[in-house]
Amino acid sequence: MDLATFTQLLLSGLLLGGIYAMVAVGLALCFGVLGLLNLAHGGFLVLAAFTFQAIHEFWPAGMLPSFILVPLIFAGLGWLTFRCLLQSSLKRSSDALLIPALLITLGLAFILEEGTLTLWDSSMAGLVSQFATIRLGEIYLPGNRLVVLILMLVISAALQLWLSRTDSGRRLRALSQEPTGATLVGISQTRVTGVAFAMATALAAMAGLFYVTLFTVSPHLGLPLTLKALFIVVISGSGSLTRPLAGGLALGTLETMLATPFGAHWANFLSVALLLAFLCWRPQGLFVRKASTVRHEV
Amino acid sequence: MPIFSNKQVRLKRLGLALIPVCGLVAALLLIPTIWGEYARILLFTILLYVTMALSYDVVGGLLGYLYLGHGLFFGLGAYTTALALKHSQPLLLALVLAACLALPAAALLSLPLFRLHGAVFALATLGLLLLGGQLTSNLSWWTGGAAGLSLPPNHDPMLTYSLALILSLLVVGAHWLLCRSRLGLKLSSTRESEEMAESVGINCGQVKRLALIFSAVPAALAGGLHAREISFVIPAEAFGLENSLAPLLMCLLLKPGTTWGPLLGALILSAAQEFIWTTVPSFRLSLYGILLIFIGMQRAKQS
Repeated sequence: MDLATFTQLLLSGLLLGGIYAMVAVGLALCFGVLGLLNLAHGGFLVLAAFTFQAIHEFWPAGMLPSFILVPLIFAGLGWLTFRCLLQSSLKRSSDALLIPALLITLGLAFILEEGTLTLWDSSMAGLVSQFATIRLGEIYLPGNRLVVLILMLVISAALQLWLSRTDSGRRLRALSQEPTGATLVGISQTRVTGVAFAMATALAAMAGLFYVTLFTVSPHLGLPLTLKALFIVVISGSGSLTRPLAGGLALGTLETMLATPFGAHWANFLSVALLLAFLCWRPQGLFVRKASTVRHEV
Repeated sequence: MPIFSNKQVRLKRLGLALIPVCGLVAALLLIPTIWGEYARILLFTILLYVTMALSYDVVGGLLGYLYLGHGLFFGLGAYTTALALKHSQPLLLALVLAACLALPAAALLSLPLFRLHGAVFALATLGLLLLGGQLTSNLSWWTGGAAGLSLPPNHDPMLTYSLALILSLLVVGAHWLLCRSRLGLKLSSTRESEEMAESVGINCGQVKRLALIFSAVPAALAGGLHAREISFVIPAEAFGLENSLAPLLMCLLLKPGTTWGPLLGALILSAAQEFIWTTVPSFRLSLYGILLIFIGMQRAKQS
């Protein structure tokens, strides 16, 4: 493999990894604050991707506003979902919350999948590139990929800034680090977790927009994608957003690199097998010391 | 002598219980000959669901894990049987092969799987199910790939039906006995508190391994019978999520950890499916979705 091919692969891998990272960060946000493993995340992503494609088809001028609007609508949808379905299981400690929430979000994933299948007759969605391809020496960089890469970086930076600099971000971090202490100093668990869930859903919607610009989307994509990202989140342990981010990027790169010698199907198989092996090897997370494993025990 | 008379009473009760069971078996064998093919297929499906629900209950109810990998063994059995039939082996040998493959597979998988608990266990078993489907469609030179595998036509549908009847009766009986046996007690003590169970000398790892094996073998046999019945296997269906979810819902619907709970759940859910899928066919997954949300919210209230 020469250098140009390698760079090309690395770039594609980082783009796929960027989507994984966005999905994983959204899920880690929920997992850190709520101890919630959200299986419906990918369902929201696919729904947003199909919505975006419909907007592209019927109202091409609305592409830019919809880029802001669709995540906002999905944030509202996430808030509603949380209020109606998941809030009732909040009063328990997060350990007891895991199983019912898993059942609820799995059910939601099915409803979202079938909803997408019913609303759109076509089973695939994909967008044609809007931007010109840029050529750097022997490396071809499609314009839409470049735009997506930049946007992903901007979004991650904004999220990091929100978490570290703003009051609501601090509340969220406090709650994820020490729920009892945070509640004692007057942080409303309901409100903060609702905000976290809404943010995560908005992130899923944005990841969906990126996905449909880069690859083709099918309604059945949601659950496998969510599962991969959830594995990353559990392996990286709760309490960090940089680890799932890095994990997502690494998984995307690895999958793209494996796809060249083995083909896409085997690359997918190998990456899931690898994640499962990691999970069974260190169930409490790769970076977590033994003493703090309580969260995963039910 | 009270002990002797006790035994006599129990024998008498057993004899009395055998009469309705024999009647039921006779009725189930007669119905397809009277009402024809539709009744046979419907009853066959229900019998397989009963088998799947009760075998799921060993891990999902008695042991109390949220277990999403039941479809893995169903698919394993379906593909083993299909490949054996494709190489013109008799059905019985194919089914024995499926069971013989599911047993070591379950024993091996239990080693890494039971290092995990709770939600992470559920995720890992779901991952295994997806992995099984992917592997089967990747080995296309052998399994026919994602397009599936057609089998020689089913010449003796009554044989598959009778085998399904025998299988479901055996599973119901075995589950009933399991609930009343030492192993059943060990299973429920492991569910209630693993530390406590270990402290009174129960080898929890071994108990869990046995539970997974007990639940895997009937699932593989059910998969094999299903493959024979429809004479076609495809990864998306054999390793489909529905094969894990339907037993899960049937088990959790009423009272997991009992024999009557999953049994009744299987009857109710298969009746509901038959009704809904024939009237609103595009409502297939959402039925599962709504039931899952309902059960999840119910559990959130309880815990």
